[in-house]
Amino acid sequence: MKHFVILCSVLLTCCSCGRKAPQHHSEDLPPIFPDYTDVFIPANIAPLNFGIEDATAIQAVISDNGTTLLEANGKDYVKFPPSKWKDLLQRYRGKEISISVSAWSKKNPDGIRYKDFKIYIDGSEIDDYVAYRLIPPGYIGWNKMAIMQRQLSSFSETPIITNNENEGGCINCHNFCKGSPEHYMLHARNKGGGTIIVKDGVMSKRDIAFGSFKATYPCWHPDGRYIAFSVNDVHQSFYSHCASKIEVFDFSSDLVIYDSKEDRVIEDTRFTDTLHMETFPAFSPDGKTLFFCSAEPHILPYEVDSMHYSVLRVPFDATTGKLGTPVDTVYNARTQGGSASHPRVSPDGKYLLISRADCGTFTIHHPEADLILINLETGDICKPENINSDSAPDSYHSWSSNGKWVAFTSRRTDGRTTDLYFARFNAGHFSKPFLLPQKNPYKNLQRFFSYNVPEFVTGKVNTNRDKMSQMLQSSK
Amino acid sequence: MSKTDKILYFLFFIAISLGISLVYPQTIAQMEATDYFVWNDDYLTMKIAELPGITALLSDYLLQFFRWQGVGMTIEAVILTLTALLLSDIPRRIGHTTYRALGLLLPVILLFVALFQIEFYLQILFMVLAIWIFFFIRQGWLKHLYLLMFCMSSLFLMPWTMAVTALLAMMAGKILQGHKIIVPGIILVAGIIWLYIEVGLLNRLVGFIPFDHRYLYSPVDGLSLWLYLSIFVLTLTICLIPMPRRKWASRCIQGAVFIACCTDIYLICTNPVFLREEKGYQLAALAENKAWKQILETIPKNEISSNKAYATYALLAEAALGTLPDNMFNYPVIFSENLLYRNNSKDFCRNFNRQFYENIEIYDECFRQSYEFGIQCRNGASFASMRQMVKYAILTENFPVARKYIAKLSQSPTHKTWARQWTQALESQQKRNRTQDKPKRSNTFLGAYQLGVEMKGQLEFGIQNPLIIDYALISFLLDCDLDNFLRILTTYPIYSRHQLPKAYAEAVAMIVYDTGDENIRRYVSYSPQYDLDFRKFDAQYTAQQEGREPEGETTDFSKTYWNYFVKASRITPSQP
Repeated sequence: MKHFVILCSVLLTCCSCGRKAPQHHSEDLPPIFPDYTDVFIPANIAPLNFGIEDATAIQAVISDNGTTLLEANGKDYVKFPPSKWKDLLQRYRGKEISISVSAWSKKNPDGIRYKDFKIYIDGSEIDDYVAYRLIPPGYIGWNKMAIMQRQLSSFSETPIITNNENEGGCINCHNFCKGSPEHYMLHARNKGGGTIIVKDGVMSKRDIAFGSFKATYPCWHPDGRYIAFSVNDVHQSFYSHCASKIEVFDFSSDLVIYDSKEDRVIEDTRFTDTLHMETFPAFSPDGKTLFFCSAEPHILPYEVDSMHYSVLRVPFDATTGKLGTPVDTVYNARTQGGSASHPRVSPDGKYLLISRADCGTFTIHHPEADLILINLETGDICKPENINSDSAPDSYHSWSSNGKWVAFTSRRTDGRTTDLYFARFNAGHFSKPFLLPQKNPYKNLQRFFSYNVPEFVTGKVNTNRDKMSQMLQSSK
Repeated sequence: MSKTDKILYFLFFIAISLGISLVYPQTIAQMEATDYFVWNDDYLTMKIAELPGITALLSDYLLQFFRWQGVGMTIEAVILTLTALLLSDIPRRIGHTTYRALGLLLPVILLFVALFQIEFYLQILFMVLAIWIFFFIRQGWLKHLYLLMFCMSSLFLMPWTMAVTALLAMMAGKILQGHKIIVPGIILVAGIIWLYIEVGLLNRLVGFIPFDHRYLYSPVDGLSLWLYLSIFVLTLTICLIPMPRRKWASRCIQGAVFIACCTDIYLICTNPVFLREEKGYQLAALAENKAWKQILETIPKNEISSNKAYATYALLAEAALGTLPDNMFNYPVIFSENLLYRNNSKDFCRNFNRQFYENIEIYDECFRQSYEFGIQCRNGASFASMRQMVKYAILTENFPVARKYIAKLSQSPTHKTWARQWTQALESQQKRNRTQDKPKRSNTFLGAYQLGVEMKGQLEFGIQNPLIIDYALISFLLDCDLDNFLRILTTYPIYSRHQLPKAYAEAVAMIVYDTGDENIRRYVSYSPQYDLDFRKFDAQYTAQQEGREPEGETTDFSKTYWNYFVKASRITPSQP
């Protein structure tokens, strides 16, 4: 009994003492993962939990002018309490907060306090959900894949559809009409596959094809009736001894308009001939213009270095579903260099964000790929240095519905897995991007999957997965 | 349990743990190679959603230990023997007598119909355990609480059919114990209804369950539902029905079970399909250790023409030994693409392709083939593919990727030492600081062209590995592309100081004879006998085409390039 009392006293003493204050100070910013130092964040984002590699204990104190607002402690990472974090963001909307980080490790057993850093809480919010496909970071084969939705104000991640519902077949190319969770489409490639179209929550399966190929990359017209598709004959080849590992290319690609009301494909021979390859359509927010990428064909993959896609735009008449004239060049690959992919117009219609590589069409496999911003009013083109990485591809971007935020994917963490980043956009300028917050910040490193085609959604997508599966397995 | 029963159980345990692991060591190792287990959110969520998820998880956990064949088979033997022991003890718990040896019937049948299916064995173990616990519990209220818990959790441990069977066995046991039929009947109906509803609930809450994996389905591929159900009905009935103990009957049953065990093990150990598969894995293991001569010794020569795996490994070994150009046409290859498995995504083929490219030091493609190998595995990743990817990521100086996969593997309890060793290897490779700027892209495409052109692309890029030159030459010969063959032979003169190997000499002799162009002799040398032989071949072939007897004695040219060429190109050698 005596021993028990002594043991309890020792344990209580240990617990009450806590950790000693850090003995060392550093003028460096803390080496936290993810790097959330000096970032702008939306006022409704989930807690930015972070860690320090090899740390045995971490302490993070959020303060404002010396007043402690929130404190979190952890072993190799810290977790901020979600409700307190939410309150904090609401109270400090439009203001900045300061974070001081101290860490203890085998290397620094006495603890080290790093230089404080700031986080700027923007006055605006980000769309509550982002949808993306989770796929293995690979080559041809896949096993598990899913189109997921993540609530950005929490850590909740739920499937919209997984390939279990499609008997293991591929699911891809999800696209939402103006970010609506009740108006979207996706492709399922399998025996009973096709294009699933959900309009006002009502699901149907269509077989959209042109020639011998299925509809591929989509973009909804903002009115919700038409979908612009490119119809691509996609192939892959693999490099050896090169920085690039994969080349994804099209043997042919055309542009068509699909009328979801009449279930018919509208062809315009200007965009379905073999003289040019057209891909990645994108409607302007007012629906009056269709942007797309176009290049002259070459012998592929041998001449992939010669494949340079420009961005063109053409008027669109929503009453007839037809493309008009003139066809205008927005980005000329011949004179401006490189090859453009994934044109996406900002919600105010003033900016066009593209990803640009040296050549080819599938920029996510090109280490040199960067995001490029084009001012549609002035024609000015700039490469925003602070969101692009030096040697890893940055691609697949999407604008939030208020135009204040962009989501994009990048392989800057390890060069192979694609992660999801967000950055604030303000008057033609991007702020430093931040990685998708996770409950355990190392989840992004440990994932089996890459984030593919992030698309903002304004609410939660509620799918009847049984019904979707039945639809995909039926031959009708 | 009688002494004879104990001996029977012991022999069964030994036969599995030792016998099968001695006959199928590589097949067992392959179980670990295609398995993956790690404490990771994505993986755990994926497995739990795969009903019965906890068993799937436990199965993956246990399969890690199959890296050491003896340990693996001991685990398998423990699961099966335990199942038999519990099953044979249930009648005693009910209060009846029966013959303990009968408990072995179920594992004997399981081994026969579903060999190496650890997950299935575990599901059955849990089912039998659930029934055993029910009869082990004495207090009535505890029994009911247990039943409630069983209904709530059983679908995480066993498929719906097994949960229902277990419930049925529990209630049947209650009736055998003398209870009236009404209460067990109500419990049974209520239990089945709940289990039916629970599948729907789990489908909504845990993860989508494919329609054909909800209620009536066989958990093992290739095992029909009716056979699967009848196994349980038959074995449970035999084991559970009370039997009066008689010595002679006991001896007969023990003898019959012993004979059944022996026959089962014999049939398993002599199954030609399993043996052929084992041989394939054995060849892969030898290739991994670069035991090329042993490969050639191991392959049954008379089966090469009927077994592509044997032919491809023999050719790989010949290439590695440098004897491929001499012996190429002894093998039944008819097209350059047959030197590997270009469009076959089976794990065996992916593994061969990796070894093929490792031999010619194209590590980017090795990495890809390793990845594709892993993606085909049950969990979309596997221990073997990750170990290989780490190796090739280091060799291609892709250090962050190597570090990432080492970190993933280090979470497995069987890879702690491995992870330490490879971290050291990574760090020492990094310290060498040899990193050179790689071109972003170049015409080094793999999988885009036929093998000859692919190899030519490597040579033009500057990778002048003699094996690549041989593969280019051989591929062009196989594809009857003699222009490219001559171009490679004269551009990369690895044979300028030696006599040409047989296949090349035959090709050159044929070209010289047919074209009359002697220039090629300035670059290469070969025995003049080939020129003489070709003349003879040509005369013999022409005579054969004209339907007359050749002059003089006929010679067997079946293993020459000339014979291959005329068959492959269907043109006469005098009109190339």
